[in-house]
Amino acid sequence: MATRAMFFKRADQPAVPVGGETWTSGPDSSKLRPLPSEDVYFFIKKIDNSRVAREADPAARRRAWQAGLKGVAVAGLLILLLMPRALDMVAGYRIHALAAEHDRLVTQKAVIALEEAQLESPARLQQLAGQLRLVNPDPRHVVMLNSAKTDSALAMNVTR
Amino acid sequence: MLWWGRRAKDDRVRERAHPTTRLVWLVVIAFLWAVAVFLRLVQLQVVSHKTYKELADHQQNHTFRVDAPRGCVFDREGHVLAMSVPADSVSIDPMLVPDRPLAASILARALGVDRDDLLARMDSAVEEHRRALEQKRKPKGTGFLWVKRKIAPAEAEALRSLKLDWVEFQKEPHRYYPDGPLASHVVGTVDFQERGNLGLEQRLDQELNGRPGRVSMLTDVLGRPIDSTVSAEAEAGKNITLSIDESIQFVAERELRAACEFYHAASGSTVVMEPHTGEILAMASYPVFDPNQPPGPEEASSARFDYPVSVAFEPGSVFKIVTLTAALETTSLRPETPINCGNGTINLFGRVIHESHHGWGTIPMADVLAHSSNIGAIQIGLKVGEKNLLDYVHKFGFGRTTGIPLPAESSGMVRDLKHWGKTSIGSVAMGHEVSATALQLAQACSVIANGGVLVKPRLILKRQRPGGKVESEPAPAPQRVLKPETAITMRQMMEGVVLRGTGKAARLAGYTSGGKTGSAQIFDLTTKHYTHLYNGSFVGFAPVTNPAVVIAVTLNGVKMFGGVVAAPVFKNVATETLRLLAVPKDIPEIEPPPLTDPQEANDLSIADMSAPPEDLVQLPAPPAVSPTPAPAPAAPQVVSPSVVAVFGPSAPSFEGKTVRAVIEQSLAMGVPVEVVGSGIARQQAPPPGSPLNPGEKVRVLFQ
Repeated sequence: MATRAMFFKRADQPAVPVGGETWTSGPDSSKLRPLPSEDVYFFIKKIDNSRVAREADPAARRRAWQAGLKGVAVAGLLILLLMPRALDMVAGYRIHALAAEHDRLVTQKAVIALEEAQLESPARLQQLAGQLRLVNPDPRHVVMLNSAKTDSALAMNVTR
Repeated sequence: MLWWGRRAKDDRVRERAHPTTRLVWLVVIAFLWAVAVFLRLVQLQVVSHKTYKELADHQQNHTFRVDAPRGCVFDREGHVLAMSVPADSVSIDPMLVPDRPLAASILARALGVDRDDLLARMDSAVEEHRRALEQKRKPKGTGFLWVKRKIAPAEAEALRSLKLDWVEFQKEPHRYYPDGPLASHVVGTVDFQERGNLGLEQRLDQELNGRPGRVSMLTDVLGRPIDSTVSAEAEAGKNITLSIDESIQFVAERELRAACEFYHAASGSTVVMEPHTGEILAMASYPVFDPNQPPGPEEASSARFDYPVSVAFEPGSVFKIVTLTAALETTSLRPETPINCGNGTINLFGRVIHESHHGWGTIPMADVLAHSSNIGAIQIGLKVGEKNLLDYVHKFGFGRTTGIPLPAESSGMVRDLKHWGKTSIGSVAMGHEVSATALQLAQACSVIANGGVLVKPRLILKRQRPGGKVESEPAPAPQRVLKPETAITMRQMMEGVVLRGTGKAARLAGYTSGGKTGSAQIFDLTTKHYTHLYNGSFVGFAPVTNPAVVIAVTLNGVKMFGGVVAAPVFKNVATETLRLLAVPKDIPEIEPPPLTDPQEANDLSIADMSAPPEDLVQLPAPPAVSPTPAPAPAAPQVVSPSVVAVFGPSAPSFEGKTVRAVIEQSLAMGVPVEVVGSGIARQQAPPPGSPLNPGEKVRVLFQ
């Protein structure tokens, strides 16, 4: 039993007489100071509960299951109630992110179309042709077929 | 025992009751808590509902104006002539700027704005904010400041890379014209708010603009959108497809500009029209402007005038086609009918009128047109009579607008008979006392080219809203105004103008062509007199048998005849246009001889019924043609079209020379040669003296 009295081996020493001199007032001042409640001793009472049996309660199990199921049902209901809203929010984020992406791509497409138009500008093409020392073909070297869209298209292997 | 048993039972009861009491207390506390929450909710959602709703709406709900993208303008082949692209605009909150002088320096450097001006605006905003707080009033407009709007993408990228958290970017639509000045008078311009203020942009502003929408957006605390409600759907503007052909427009503008610059014309117009449908393939106006740039001090004051549509002028001899058509339809005159041109003099109601050039005796009516005899035209006009002449002037569409969808179209001027003077019949017969636009001249010429049907000019082919169906522009109903045989006769007579008359410079290689030149003195409204400057015009078509294209060219304020200044423009534009339209050639490809004597093109109509001014009879010196092909300049170099046509380089003679001598000579002259064989040059193609096209080689055969 590891009480403090046992630990400090005070059980071997004589008890302080009631009304006697205290450890500070006595002649032997080298004595250890007593611990609080040093004079209180604890005893262990061994109780054997091995033969005690809990009274069977057949309804308790059912109640527990019911309570659990009810909890699950309530949670499920809550989830069911809140899930559409949550999914709606998630979808909202996604839709608007996609819309922003769509707008960005449309803008990018417009910028590219503009850039293409600028690159195909006749003035720029003429400038490039001049730098490359290109000239208009001699009119005598240009053969006009009767129609560029029908027979001539076939002759020139134009598919459209 | 009993006592003990009762006591035990009471203990069990007490033990059982004890947790129930605690539960009751718990329930009571929970209830009170719930009541407190409920009361708080009532206070929040019922009592202070309005206040918190406003706060929540302000924080979470944002209503945006969704701008409808402005429609694009395309040419007939689908090339973009105008389109809107979102551009970044930069703004700041001066209150949030940590160091204003530094911020002004950074922004000035990144965006090219005036630093001091920006700093002054920022300081002013901050000062105003401080004053408002001192006076305990709500500061107005101090938390927002535009720095620069619609900046270039490169500027935006550079500024974003600085990661300045006090700089805000907003998207605003910006109108771009990728071809710059090309067709700028037709397409027009928009102002800063993207409202059309010129050309089609102005006339079709409502259709191009579309309808803006509104969207209410629910955002989270970070400003990310969660949900949105479209209260009004944005309706994009319609895309407009024009009948303009970008390539033909480019050629028309290039040739017109070259001619105007070479002949120092104040302005000029070219209209290229398909005569059967009335589709305008090109409409050029000089001077030009860049619609991407706002009007500046360096821009010519008249640069934004749409000359072919808005500016009417006295057409001069071009108008003789109306006189002669009226004669064919209303009198017994035929092309071969002799007309007495009085050797260049006529007495019209007591007023003696002289021809501007040497007079003609009695010549066929076809030659009156070919040589543009004013006396002959007056004689024919007298035979037609005032009423018939005026009737045919109206039939050709003069005196009223054509209905082309461009703003500020001029109807020209055709006076009623009651306002005609005694000699008006003579003036109108040769194109004075009336005024017309270049577009009206092209429309009138189309009547002859398409067999006698007046077709209204058509500029818009279709409209289409993005994702919507195509709305084809209905063609206006044609109206027959001439007998087909009259139109065919006129075509033949107009071909004579090109073959043997004043319009020789308009002869095409590989195609027949017909037309009429015109040179009309310009009336000075200040001095109330005719000046010595002229409107030189040419109106023609090609090929003669089945005209595919009608072209009207006018140069205003020149000192030369229309046959000299305008006919070469017609020739170059027609050649390119017919090639682009893949029109089959109807005559052998023989380059017509150049015009050598300017008097051959003298068609001056006698505006003030006096002798022609002296300065009309001299041609300016031809421009020096560089002997060696110069390297291409950075900017497009404009070469006078008429230079090539009339004064272009010709093939030198290499015959009898050695290969070395030929090469040296060709290098010196800048004429590329193709050497075939060795020895002495025996033959060459093209032969000596033949005009050379730019870059064309001379093939020399050595034996």
